[in-house]
Amino acid sequence: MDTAEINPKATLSVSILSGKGGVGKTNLALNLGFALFGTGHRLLLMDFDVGLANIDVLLGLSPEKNLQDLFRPGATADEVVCPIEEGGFDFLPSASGVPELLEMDEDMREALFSKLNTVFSRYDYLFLDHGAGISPNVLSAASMSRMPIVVVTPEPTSLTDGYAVIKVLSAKHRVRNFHILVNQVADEKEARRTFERLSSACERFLGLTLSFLGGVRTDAAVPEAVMRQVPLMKLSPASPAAKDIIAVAVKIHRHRQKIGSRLKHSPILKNLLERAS
Amino acid sequence: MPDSIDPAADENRAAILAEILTLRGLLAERMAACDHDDPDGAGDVMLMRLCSGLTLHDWEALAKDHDLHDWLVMPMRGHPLPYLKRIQRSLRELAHLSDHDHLTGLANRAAFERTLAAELERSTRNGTALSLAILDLDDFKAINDTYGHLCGDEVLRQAAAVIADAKRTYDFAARIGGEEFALILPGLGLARAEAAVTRLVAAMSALRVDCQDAASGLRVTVSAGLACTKGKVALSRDGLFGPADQALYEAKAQGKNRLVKAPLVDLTVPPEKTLVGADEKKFLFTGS
Repeated sequence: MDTAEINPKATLSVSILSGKGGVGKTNLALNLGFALFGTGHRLLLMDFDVGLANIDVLLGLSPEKNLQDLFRPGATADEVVCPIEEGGFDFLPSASGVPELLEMDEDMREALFSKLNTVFSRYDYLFLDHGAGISPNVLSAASMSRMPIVVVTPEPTSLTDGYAVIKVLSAKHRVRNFHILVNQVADEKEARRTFERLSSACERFLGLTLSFLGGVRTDAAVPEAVMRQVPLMKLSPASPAAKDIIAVAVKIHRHRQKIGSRLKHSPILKNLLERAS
Repeated sequence: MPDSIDPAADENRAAILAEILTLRGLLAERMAACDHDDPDGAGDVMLMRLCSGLTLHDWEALAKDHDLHDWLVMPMRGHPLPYLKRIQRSLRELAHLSDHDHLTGLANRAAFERTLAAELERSTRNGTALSLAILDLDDFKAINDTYGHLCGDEVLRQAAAVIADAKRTYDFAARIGGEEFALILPGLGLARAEAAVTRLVAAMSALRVDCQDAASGLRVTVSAGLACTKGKVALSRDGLFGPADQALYEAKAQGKNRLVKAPLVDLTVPPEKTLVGADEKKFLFTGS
């Protein structure tokens, strides 16, 4: 193994995934980012829901440039990165309504990430907000990150779709270290119960052990924040959902501390050329 | 062909011809009996025979009448250059013949098998679609029986021309049997291949072949079987050819002059390892 520190800042790449759409994935990514930034970490939130991007909408921003612009010769990543908060909470917008980006193959990804890598290394965290579903593009992009987080809700449909994501990623991309975040729960007990259900299915059928990141309660403050295009952590930092999100952020932070020394010796994103077998 | 007036020379010619034809039969039997795994050509030999009294002119007439194109001839008197040139031309023609069908000019069966194997590999490697159509002229035996083999050959030639005309530049058309043709369509999924082959079937039924005995233009139709892989699963040659052949059989049974397509090959293989099974769903819902 290479002993050189190729990732000296130990930037942790985190994928936020869900099989089913509408489970609050993008909103969680944004607010988890906010919580980590609030505790003094630099964080880049990358909207990787190419084709149907909407982090900018949650923020009430209309960035002039996006990922698509990076394919232009001479364009630099700095032109595209746009600040959410001064001091190191930034956002990398994607393009909406560009289906061609969904077809991104390894050459396009390589072209994109060769420009982004230097930018990535300035942050403590790189959050990738992926599109819902199990399209090859979503899954191969998700398999590049060091910490895959699957967001599910207690609904059977969400649970099944989350399970499908885990199954495909483990079978086709050899991803095994899944972290589960249960959104829209009544209480901690329901979050636990939902996790146990998914976890024992993965144990039994896939031989996988999942990590429980926690649950986030259903909270009227969440839709309110979405409507007002202000992050929940900013609008209602004392709301139950915000408290839960902070607890999850703490767990992510601890995870980074635990694997920090290993992170320093591995690329921020795993081999870009790694493909579905 | 101007007949020789020398009866002895005639006899000599007949003897040589009989010998060659006997040898051809024996060689064909032998080739059929042994397998051909000899890529280095370690088992390749050249047969030579001195034919006294046979002129070059005689030989050419014999070769033409008895389809002896793969025999090479070298006169023993005079300057060798013209004959060496002739041999070179023959070799070039032989190389062409080894890949092409003599009658129609389309690729032959051997070339078809090689191309199909390569395209199947490409399809699986790249995950791209590949379609294969097998086409069989309808009631061809009746044409041969009614109008004779010369007319039959003309029908084959013109049918081949229709196929060659209908294909895209990178499609591959071959004559793979008596009245059987194949069309390899790289990159085409089932729906688009169906449209292409349907146009071909229609173009064939519009064809009118003029044979000497047929009063007006002779009508020819073709039946086609189509199979397609999306390149998602590794397929053997028979995995694609079999369904196409089966579909062709079905097209004949349904009344000929039509296309029948096999179900998408990728969908008929067992579900892959990532499919979420009923037992897994039940467990997620009920916990048991």
